[in-house]
Amino acid sequence: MTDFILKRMVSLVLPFVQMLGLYVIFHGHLSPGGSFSGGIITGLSLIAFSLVFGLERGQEKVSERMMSLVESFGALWYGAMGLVGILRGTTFLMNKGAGVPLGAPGKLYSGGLILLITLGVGLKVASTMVTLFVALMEEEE
Amino acid sequence: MGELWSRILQNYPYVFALALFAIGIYTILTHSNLFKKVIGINIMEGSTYILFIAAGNIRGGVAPILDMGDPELVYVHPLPQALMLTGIVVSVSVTALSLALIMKLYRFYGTVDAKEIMKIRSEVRANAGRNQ
Amino acid sequence: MPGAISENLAVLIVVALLSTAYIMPLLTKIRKFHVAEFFAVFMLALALSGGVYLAREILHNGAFTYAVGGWPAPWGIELSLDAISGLFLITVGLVATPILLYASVDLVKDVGSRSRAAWFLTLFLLLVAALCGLGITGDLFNIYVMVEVATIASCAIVAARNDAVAVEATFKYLMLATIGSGFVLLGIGFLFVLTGNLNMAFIAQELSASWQNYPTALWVCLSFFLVGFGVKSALFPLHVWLPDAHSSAIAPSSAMLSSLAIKGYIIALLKVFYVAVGADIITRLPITNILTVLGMLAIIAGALFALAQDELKRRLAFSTVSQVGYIFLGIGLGNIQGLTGTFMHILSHAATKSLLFLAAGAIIKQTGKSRISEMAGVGFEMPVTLGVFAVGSLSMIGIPLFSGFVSKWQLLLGSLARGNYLAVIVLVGGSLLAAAYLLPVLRKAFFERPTQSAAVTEVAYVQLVAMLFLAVVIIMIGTFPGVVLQLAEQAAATLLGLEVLL
Repeated sequence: MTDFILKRMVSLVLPFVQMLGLYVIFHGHLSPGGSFSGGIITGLSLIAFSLVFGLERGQEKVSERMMSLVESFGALWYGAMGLVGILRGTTFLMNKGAGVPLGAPGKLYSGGLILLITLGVGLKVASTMVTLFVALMEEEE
Repeated sequence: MGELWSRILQNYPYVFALALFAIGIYTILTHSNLFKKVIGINIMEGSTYILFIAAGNIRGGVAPILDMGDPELVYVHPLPQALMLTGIVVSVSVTALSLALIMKLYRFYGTVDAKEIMKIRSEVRANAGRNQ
Repeated sequence: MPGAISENLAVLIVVALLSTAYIMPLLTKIRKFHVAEFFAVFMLALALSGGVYLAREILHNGAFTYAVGGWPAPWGIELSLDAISGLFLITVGLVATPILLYASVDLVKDVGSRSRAAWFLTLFLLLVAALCGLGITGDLFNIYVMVEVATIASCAIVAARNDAVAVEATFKYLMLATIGSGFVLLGIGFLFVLTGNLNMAFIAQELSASWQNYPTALWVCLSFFLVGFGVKSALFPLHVWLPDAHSSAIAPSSAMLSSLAIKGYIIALLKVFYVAVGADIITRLPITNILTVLGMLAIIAGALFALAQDELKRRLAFSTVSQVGYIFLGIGLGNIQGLTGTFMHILSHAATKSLLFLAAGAIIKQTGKSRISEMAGVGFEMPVTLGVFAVGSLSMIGIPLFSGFVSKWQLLLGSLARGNYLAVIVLVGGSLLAAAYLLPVLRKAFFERPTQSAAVTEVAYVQLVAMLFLAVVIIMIGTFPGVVLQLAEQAAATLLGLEVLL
């Protein structure tokens, strides 16, 4: 695609879209939305880049290998966060009871492990969306 | 009869959800175009979202986020919403998987019509039988 | 630390398998492929030993629950660890480990490329983790999630082989399985609307107090569950996807799907019917009669369809339809012997059918012949493979000293206790039909001279070891059923809400 307006618009809008995605991920425990919605928004911003500038330039920014690494990392991160509870002598995914400081309600850091868990899930969702897109695009060729 | 109608009107989201579910299944089973089958799946999954969200809803309730505000606030049930979020994730993955499969089928058979694929397959099988 | 592990063992099994699944793509990139495969098999064996340990705990100290995240039952997710979970964890571990060992020999060649093989390992482990999850969960939300993970993973491992027939079978399977999930989700929705809970123990409490107020709604809900899980576990009139999907996949996939994947949905159905709704209500509703009739129909019809097939893997696939009938018959009988038979058959059929599919895969691979009529004299060329195939066949028919006999005997006792003599006739008839569709393969292989003497050899040693392991499991359960039978009886007693029978 060689549409000038489209390229300009996407490069103007994309930073804000990514910002919004990260905002939704980080405020999952404070406002509607969360890791899945935020991850989708972040992933879609990367997909939009590939759609407008072509799959090759998109791959230069975030390679498929990188994405599959992030995908595995997101899932493993979730498991690791769950193990914190077990290592502290309580049950799986235990948060407050395992001695994690909860923070002040209403502030960004207020859910203990929840923030870290949503971060992992958000990364996983975003990278999965990109991997799916790339896989479907490559099949076509 | 009047009582039945008033019951249906009271519970209209459930009736609506079941009708959509039936439409979705009808679409999957009767259309031979594979893309239309995928659309049917999405309609069917969408109907279950309506069922669950309606079941957890309270009129005038707000999103279940505890913000230390008004203690009089009525919150809607968060559990069905969480379940439906999972349902949305599932339907996204099923749709992605089926689209990938349709692409493969198109590459193998050159068509996205279930009937034509069946025809091609039976011809291939008949040829294989003759060759033996 | 050992204390922490044994306390959290149930959840650790599932988490370890899930983590292993996600490590696979990384590990195959940085190490040799066989390292990843070995690691996966090792983790499965570890999960098996965890399952055995858990089952021992449950038998000695009774069932217990585990609150994930420390949140108690109506708010948090609760795992209910009883004899059902113990037995199913053992079943999954016992069968999945040799299947993956068998698959590991030339997985890359079977599925096409290295990256596809890595994803196959991931999906295989995801499927195993989801099945373990189904075994231990006590919550409908979890059941839905695990059912979906299992469905998508099993669809994808059918499509592991990159050919037209497999992809088409996968698509058909995916469509029908998704309709099944839709029905299951609607059923869960109805139970939620009726009771306001998703935890099965709490649903049972609510329903036992108030189910008489809305029997029709409960009926509709139960039929949704029956259709939904029936499609997924290939109950007779809803089995249309199974023969294509199971016969076109690679041998380890077919073995996994036929032996374990459909059992996961049956366990889920058992939990919903007998734990969530409650044995008391279920046995009072005519739905158990419907299950009995459907089971008997499936036994006969599946066996007749199997007789008509000449392709070995299709014959085995239809045999699965017939054997699922036995399991549903036991669920329908609804007494202690019948349900014990159901649980024993879940274990015994898992071991037997996976052995048969693996042996069939070995035969087809080494000889290149997939039709039974072409298999004259294979027994002389591949004696070990056909030997274990014979063990599997005898167990499937229900000959004493093999595991199939134990389960069918319990089902027979259950039918007699119900006074259902038609079921007795069907059970015996089903066994005779099983002999009719399995023994011709052996006759062809051992008692007919090979047509031409091409140099056919046995498969690799590792694959032989995997098959021999399953054969030994079958014979061990058949000769010394003691502990396993005790566990199955305990599981049946748990479902019926009876006290311990030991």
